[in-house]
Amino acid sequence: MDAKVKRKPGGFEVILSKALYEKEAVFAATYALSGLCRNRVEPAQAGYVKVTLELLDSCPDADRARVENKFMNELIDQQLRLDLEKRYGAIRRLIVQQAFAPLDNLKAAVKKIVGRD
Amino acid sequence: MPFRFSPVASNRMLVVNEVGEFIFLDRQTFERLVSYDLAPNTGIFLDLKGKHFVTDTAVTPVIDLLATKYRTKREFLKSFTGLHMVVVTLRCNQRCNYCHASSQPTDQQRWDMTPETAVNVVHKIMESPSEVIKIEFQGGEPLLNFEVVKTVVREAKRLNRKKNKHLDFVICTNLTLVDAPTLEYCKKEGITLSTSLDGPKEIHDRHRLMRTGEGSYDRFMQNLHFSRSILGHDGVNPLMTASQESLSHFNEIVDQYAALGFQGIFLRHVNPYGYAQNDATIQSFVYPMEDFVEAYKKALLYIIELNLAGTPLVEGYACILLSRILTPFCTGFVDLQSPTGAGINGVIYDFNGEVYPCDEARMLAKMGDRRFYLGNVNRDSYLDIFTSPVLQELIEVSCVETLPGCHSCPLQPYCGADPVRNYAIQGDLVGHRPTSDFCMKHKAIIEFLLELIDQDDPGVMDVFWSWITNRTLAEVRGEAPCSN
Repeated sequence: MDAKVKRKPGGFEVILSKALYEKEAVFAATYALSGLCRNRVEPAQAGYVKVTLELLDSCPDADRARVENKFMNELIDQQLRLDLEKRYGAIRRLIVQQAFAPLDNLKAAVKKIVGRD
Repeated sequence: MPFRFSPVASNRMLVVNEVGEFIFLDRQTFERLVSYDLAPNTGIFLDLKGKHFVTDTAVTPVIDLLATKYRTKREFLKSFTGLHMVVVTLRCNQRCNYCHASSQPTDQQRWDMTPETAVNVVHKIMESPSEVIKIEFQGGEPLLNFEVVKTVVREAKRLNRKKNKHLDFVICTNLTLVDAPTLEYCKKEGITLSTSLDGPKEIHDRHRLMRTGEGSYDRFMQNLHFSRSILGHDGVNPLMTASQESLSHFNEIVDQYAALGFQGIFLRHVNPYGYAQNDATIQSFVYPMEDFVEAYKKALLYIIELNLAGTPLVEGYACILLSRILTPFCTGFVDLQSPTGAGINGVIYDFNGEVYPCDEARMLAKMGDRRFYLGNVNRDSYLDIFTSPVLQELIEVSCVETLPGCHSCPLQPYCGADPVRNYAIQGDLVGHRPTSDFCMKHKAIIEFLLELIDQDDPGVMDVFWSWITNRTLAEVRGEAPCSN
């Protein structure tokens, strides 16, 4: 089970596998929906985390299915961003470093990160 | 290569790299990109390679190139504070409904800056490391304390004989008090006028009122023509403020700016501060940002049509964003920078010598919250003021790379943060992006511009390039030689 959604009155509850979704991704996705929902993140059974989202009364578009889809997509996007950051974060930091404090040997720094220059 | 992405309304993925190169990808192509499944000889791979999202050759030159572009985009950090706003008086002969400058009655001269304070202000300004200094006189109505304006100009020019900076002066005036000697002085000293024109008479007079209660439009128009007759046609530049009532009249407002021969218009959402919070008129100024954005988009398309039909008119906000999107250069825009431009690009000196990072911070102080007070020119040194813990904190909390909601946003290279506004509206410096109308507005308008660029309509792109290169359409199209 990667993610299990349980609908509840006024919202829904999602049980997420920690093996698939990292804490940062869960928090970022929850934050992204915090204008629409009242959110709670808490530990579930071993290896899982529980996210509870309750639609705000003031939510102008209180369509639970839409918000549910939005959350699940957001979660995937946030996890993908983390994965991309793992792949390219070092290059991103190198670009910024080279911009403000150029390295004596950029080639060597690139080779160390990428494996080729 | 690193990039950020986000789904957009057109059911595509917007992909933007660290220096603002962007591309829209359909979902399938995006999935193939992140799965390393794009063949190097395909058109899409070459498009992505051309924008430095991928590479199949040497990596080092690409990183070096991106670093150079990144440095150029951040050039504004090098020069430090260039815009210095000086509030020479809080007195004003107008009492506009949305004023957030705490304007005071004209007979209360205790709200005037003294010549001694003015001299101290100038000394602080000229200590700025920036090679380009713009001194903007604000109020109240600055012409009510014109002697102090003259003191500032005289002292700044005197000090500049040694400093040799590029020095500009602008007076922000409602124009109703200009006379021939004032205008002749401005002409002699190279001072331009910035003013306010909200639209045709009915719209302008709704909220821009004289203290006596009548509208200011007729006097404004009379003095606009008079000012132009002395300062030249481009010696006066207006800003408009959009109230709720203006939204359905944007085209008429645009038509009026065009008819008056202004080079541009800046469609500006009202800041819900100061007098705008008064119960009697609050419904005019606190309206959904979505309404503004929709009106803005329609008006922008209308302005583009006007340009294509032969009436040149630049929309100022779009022009700034387009420069950020389409050119490698940085654009100074205090209201939308990362880190914030408040304090490090622009600063405001109140009538009593108190220094604040921006006008909104000064307004908060007037309402009793001195959270952003940086110091006083009469007591504190330049370093005390510009290295104050308050300013350092503002910078720390306004780097979009680290802000929740902004850190993964692909619009980062074009956007910025406004911690003072966050504090005023949402109660803390960091703010809450999912409910921020600041975020909603900029995101919607930037994405709209990106979609327009992506459509690649030759006429629209010609208009955009004419705006950001300050050339005519004929010049952009190669039908006329460049004049600048």
